[in-house]
Amino acid sequence: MADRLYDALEICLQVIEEGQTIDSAVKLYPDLESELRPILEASLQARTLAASSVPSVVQRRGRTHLLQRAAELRQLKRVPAKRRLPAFQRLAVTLGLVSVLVLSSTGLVGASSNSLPGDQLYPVKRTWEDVQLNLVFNQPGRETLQSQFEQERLNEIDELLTQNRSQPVTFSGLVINRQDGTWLVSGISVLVTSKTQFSSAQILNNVPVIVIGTTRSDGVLEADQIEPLQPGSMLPPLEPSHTISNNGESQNAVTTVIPTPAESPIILQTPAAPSATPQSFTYTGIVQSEEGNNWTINGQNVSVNQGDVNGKINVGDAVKFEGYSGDNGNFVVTNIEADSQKPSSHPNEGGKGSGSSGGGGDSNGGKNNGGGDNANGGGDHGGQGNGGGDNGNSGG
Amino acid sequence: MNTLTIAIPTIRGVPVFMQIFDEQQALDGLKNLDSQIIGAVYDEYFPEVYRYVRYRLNDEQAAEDIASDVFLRLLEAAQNKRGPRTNLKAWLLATASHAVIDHLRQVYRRPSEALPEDLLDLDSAPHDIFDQREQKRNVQQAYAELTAEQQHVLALRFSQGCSLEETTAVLKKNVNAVKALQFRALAALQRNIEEMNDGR
Repeated sequence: MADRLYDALEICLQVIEEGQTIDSAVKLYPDLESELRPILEASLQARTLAASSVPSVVQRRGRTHLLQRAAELRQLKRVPAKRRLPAFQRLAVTLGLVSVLVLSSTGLVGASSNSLPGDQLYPVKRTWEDVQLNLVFNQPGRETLQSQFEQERLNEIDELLTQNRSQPVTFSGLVINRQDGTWLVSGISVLVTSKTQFSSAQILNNVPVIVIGTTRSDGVLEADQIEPLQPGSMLPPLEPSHTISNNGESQNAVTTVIPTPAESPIILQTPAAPSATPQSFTYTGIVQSEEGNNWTINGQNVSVNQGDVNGKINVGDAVKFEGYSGDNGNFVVTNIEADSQKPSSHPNEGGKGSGSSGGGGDSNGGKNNGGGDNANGGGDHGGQGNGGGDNGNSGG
Repeated sequence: MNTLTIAIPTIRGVPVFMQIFDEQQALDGLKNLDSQIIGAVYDEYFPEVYRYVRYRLNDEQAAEDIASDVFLRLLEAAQNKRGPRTNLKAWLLATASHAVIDHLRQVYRRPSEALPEDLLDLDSAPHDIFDQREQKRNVQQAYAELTAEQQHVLALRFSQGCSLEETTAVLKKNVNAVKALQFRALAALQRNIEEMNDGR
């Protein structure tokens, strides 16, 4: 019923809207006239409230106001857009540049990691090494890193020799053997000629030196200058990762090189008091075997008299020992004791080392005491070379 | 779809008329702050908005202010992506309704502010004179006593003749609900008018 009344009202309103009277409208719904008529009369009253027209001045004022506001908004929109867009662009450009720099520098560093002296990227590699060193603040870590970099120098020289490239090079190493004008320095064959300059009168085996020279296309490094290293300098822990075989072919020496024990760089210590011949050296290392008087420490055969052993030393113990190079090439230990500053590396304790090396875990860690400025104080003990070739050069 | 015809500024002294956009173009023009489209939208809808507000308030100055403000709101809403998406007229009238309510709240919150003169002079009107002006005042008073929703629907239907469909769009109600609402609004208006007439 109510819905019909509402519908009837709507129809009647439309009829009146079209110009008909209330009487005409209610005739459409005679049964609802009593309800519809007062409502329709009220609708006529409601129509009287409507404004007949909009004053033109009112409309113009409003229009002007609106367009003025639109102009202001346009201006506001333009100004922030100018500021915001460049700011966004600057940010985008900055981020882009940073990304490019980071990516390119990362890629550059990565690409330079295999570069060799003379390569365009080699300065990047060396600079990155300096950066890495500057970022390491603890001394042991720094020494480890320096030692790794020295090892890298050896690898680079070895690679240069393999590629028969001629490049000026500088590296640090331990004199292992000296025969017929060819020295073996940390596994690198160094040709010593009459032009080679020595700051010291004579350099013995097991003396850490710095070699400045040029790689030759025949696989030999010709030394321009050889000098004993100053105390505190870093030595590469191993021979180069590539060695030159007897037939001159390059072979990967993974199986012949003891992995780099990062924690055990060789560090030249402050020289001991100058001693008479034979010259004495002090090293640290890991005992790998004990067979009577013949011990192996860091892959090096050493002669140990039981009377010179202080305390009980087992295989795997870190030791500090002193001795000299014997005439037979062996290193003769004059005093050996457990090195309390170095952790032991017992095989059954999961010590470091590579099964491929055969030489056991820590191949180095030896400390050379007594080198340096008194290196020429003793006699020439001739070649020994027991550290060359297969497993490390670090031992005494 | 609504289309607007506006007068383009004259070219070489010759006025050029063209049909420039439909409602969607109008909405885009508002968003882009296109002066021509803004002007066209204003010209098209301002009279309806003004009459609506004038109907609700019976106050010329307030109607002008509020109607103008509705278009400013439209402009800013279009910039902030809060503007109408389809029915521009419905949005304008709904916004006008809210603006009227806000205005009335402010008026009632500040009683010292003068109410429309027509509404204040009722008591002073002579009881025995029922000329057209007095009758209109009674209707205005009767209308003012309706609920806001009833005022809203009557203003839409009788200030400018919104169709039932347009009214449903503004009120966002279905047709039957709007029919019922307008019936109750007119019935209430009729009662109020009778009560005023009886009271005199």
